[in-house]
Amino acid sequence: MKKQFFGLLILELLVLLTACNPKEKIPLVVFAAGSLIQPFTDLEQAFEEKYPDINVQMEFHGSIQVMRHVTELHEDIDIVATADQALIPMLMYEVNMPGTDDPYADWFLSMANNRLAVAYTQRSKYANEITSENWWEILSRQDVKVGLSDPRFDALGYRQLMAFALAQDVYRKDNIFHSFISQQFSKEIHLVDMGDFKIIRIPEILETAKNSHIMMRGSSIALISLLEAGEIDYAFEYESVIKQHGLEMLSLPPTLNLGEEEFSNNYHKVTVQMDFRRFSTVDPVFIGEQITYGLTIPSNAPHPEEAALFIRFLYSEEGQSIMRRNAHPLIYPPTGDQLQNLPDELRDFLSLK
Amino acid sequence: MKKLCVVLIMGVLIFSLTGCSTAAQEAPAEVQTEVPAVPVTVLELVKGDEVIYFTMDQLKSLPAVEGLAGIMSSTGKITAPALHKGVLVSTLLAEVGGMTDAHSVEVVASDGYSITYSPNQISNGEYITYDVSSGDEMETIGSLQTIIAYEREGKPLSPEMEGELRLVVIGESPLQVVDGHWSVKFVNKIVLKEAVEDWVVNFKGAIEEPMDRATFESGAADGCHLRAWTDADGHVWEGIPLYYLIGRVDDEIKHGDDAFRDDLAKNGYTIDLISADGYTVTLDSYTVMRNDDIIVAYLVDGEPLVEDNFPLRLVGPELSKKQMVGGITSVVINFESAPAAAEPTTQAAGEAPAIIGPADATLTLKGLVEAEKVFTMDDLLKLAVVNTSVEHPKKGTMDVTGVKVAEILSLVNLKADAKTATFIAGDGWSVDVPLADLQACENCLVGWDEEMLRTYMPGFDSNFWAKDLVSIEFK
Repeated sequence: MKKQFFGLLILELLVLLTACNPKEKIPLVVFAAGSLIQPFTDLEQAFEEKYPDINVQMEFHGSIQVMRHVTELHEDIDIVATADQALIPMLMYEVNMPGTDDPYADWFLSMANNRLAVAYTQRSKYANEITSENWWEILSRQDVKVGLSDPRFDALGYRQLMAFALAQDVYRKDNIFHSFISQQFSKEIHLVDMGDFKIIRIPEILETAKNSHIMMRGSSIALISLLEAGEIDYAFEYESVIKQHGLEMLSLPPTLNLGEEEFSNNYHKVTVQMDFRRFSTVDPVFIGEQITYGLTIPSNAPHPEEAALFIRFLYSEEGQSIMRRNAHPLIYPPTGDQLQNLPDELRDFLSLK
Repeated sequence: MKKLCVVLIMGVLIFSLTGCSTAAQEAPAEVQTEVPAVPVTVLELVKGDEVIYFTMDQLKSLPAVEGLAGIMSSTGKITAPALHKGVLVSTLLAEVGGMTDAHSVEVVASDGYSITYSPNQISNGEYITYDVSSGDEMETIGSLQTIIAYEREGKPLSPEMEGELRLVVIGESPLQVVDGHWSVKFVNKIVLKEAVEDWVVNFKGAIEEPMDRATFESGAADGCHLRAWTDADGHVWEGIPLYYLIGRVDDEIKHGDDAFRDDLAKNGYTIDLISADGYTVTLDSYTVMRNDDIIVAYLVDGEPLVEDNFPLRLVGPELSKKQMVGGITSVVINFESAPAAAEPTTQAAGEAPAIIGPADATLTLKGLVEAEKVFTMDDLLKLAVVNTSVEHPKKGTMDVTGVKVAEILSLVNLKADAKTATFIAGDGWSVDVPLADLQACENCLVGWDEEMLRTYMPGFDSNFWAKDLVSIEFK
C-alpha cells in the first residue's frame, strides 16, 4: 500500500511538472514583403505541420519597412524576405549591429523574380479598351481612378514610377510621365532627363492633390481591396499577386515590366531618388533592374538554425511546389550574393559553393 | 503515517501550484537612498538655428490631450486603438513660431530614421482611416490629431520597446486605425522645416530647356558636376559650372562628355544671364568654355539662395561683383556671331570639326588589306568626326579633332595574318603598333591640326603619336 501510494505521488508530481512546463514552441520570426503573403502563409502552414515544435510568426510589410524593422528598430527577426534584393546590401550589409563591427547581413539568396503588371477588373473603366500599347494613356485619363503604392515605403511604389519613365523611350513620347503625374500631387514628383538616363525624384511630402485621380496607399497589397471594391479602376501589382487574387491582368512589354534579365540594361536607364534622408546611414537611391526578391538570415537572428531549416524547406520539393502554386516560382538552382558566407548547412543543402 | 502523507501531498501540490503561477512576485522592498534625479532631455525641437530641449517634466507641463490610437500595418495587421496621452505636435511647434502651409515637419527617431509630415497631417489630422475589424478603408469618425505620446492606458511608454515618446494619431473612436508608418517609435527630435520652393529657369540655345530645381540639383549632386567657391567673406557657394548648363542646350546632346560643344564655343558666341528685374550679364564663350570657376550657384553655406539671389546666382573667382548676377530667370545663348555653327551640321555622321585640317592631306591604308584604300581629307570629314580631349603622356590634356581609328579600320578588309600596323610619316619615319592593341583602343584617333594628319594615341607612349601621317601599313 505504501509503495502504491508513493508511486501515485510520483506520478502526480510528474503530471504536475509536465503541466507546469508545457514544451514551448520555438518562435521563428519571418518578416517578408507584402507580395509574399499568400505563398509564405501557405509555407508557414506546411512547415509547421512538418516541424510542430516551431511556431512560424510571419509579419508582412512593404519591403522598405521590412528593412526598417531589422536595421532601425533592431527587432529580433530570423528571416528577411524582400521584394528587392538590392535593399539587403544597401541597408543590411552597410549597417552594423549596435555595439559590434558586424553587419546585419553579409549574404543573400536571390529567391524569385516577378514582373510588374497592371491589375484591373471587368468593372474597371475602359477595361475593354486597354492594351499594352495604350495603358499609359488610359491610366492618365482624369476619370480613371488609379491606385499607386507609396514609393517611400514600398518597392513596387518606385518600380511603377520607373515603368512610366521607361515608357517614354519605349513609346517615343516625351510626356508620358508628366501627363500621368502632373498636378496629381501637392508636391511634384520630378522626372529629370539626363540625356542617357533619367532620375525620378520623390519629394519628402507626397500627398495626392485634391481631385486627383490617383489614390496612394502604403503598399501595393492595400490596393487589392480597393480594386476589388471598385474604389479604383487600375493598380500596379506584381504578376504573382494578380494571379493569386484572380484579377484581370494587363502584361506590360518586357522593356517595361522589370522582369526580364535580357532587358536589364534598359531598366538601368532609370533611377529613383528620394529627396530626403529616410534612414540614418543610407541615402536611398533605387536603380532600375530586374525584379528579384532577396532572402537572408540577419546576423542577430535569435534562431538561426530554425531559420536555416525554414529556408531548406522553402527550397525543398514541397516548398518549391507551394511557390509554383502561388505563381511565384523560386529561382532554381539557387543563386545569390556572397554565398561563401551562407551557413554551412544551407550551402551544403543548396549545393552552393 | 497516512496523515503525514496527505500533508506531504498537499504541501507538494501547493508548492507545485505556486511554481506554476506566473503572477509577479513582490520583491522584498529594498531600502534605497533618495538621489535627486538629473533632468534628462527627451525631445529636441528644431527650427533653423533655434533649438529647444524638453525634459519629460517639461513636456508633461504642456497642455495634454488624450485619444484613441491604433494602427494597421501595410499588409493589414491591426493593433487595436488604445488610449494615448501626450502633447499635440502643433502645440510643440507653437514654441518655435508655429506651422504654416509653407512648412513641413520632420520627425526623427533616436536611430536616425525620419519621416516627414505635411501641414495637412499636423494641423488638420488628414490621414486615411481603416475599420478596426476588417481593415477596410472607412470614413474618418470625428477628427484626428497628431501627438507626441508619453502614456498609453495611463502608463508610461516602454523605453525599450518603443521609446519614451512615440508619435501617434489619436481620434475619438475605437473603431478606426491609421497606417502604421505614421506611428513613429523612439521619437527624439522634431524639425520644423521651410518647404523647399520649386523654381524653373529657362535655358535657351540651339534647343530650349526650362530647367527645374530637381534637374539642377541632380546635376549638382556630389560626384556629378558640383563645384564650390568660397568668397572673401567666407561664404561657400555651391552649384554647377556654367558651361555644363550651356552644354545641355547648345545642341541636342544634353549629358555626357560630348554635351558641351567646344567647336561652337571656339567659333564664338555670347551668353546672357538675365535676372528677374531684367539686369543682364553677358559673357563670351571663350571665357566660359570648360571653365570650372564660373559657377551657377543654388546654395550658399548649404542653404538655398533667398531674396534677390533666389534661385540661382552666377559666382566665381574670375568674376567681378557686377557680373555676379543673382535671381537668374533665364540664360540665353546668342549664336549670331557664329551663324554657321548654329546651322544644322553638314557632317554625315559626326560633329563639325573644331579644327580644320589641310585640304590636300591623304591617308593610305595598305599592306595586308584586301584592297588598298586612300582617304582624302573630304573622305575623313564624312566619317564620324569627334572633337575631344586626349591626354598626351608628356604634354598633358589636348583638345583634338579627328576620326576614331576603329572606324577607319572597319572600312578596310584586313587580311587574317595582319598582326602589326605601321604608322608612316611624310619624312619616312615609322613606328609599329601591335594591331590588336590598336583595335582595342577605343579613343585612338587619326586626327589633324591645321597643317598635317596625326595620330592621337591616349594610353600609348609619345612615340606612337605620329606627326604628318601619310599611310598605315598592315603587316
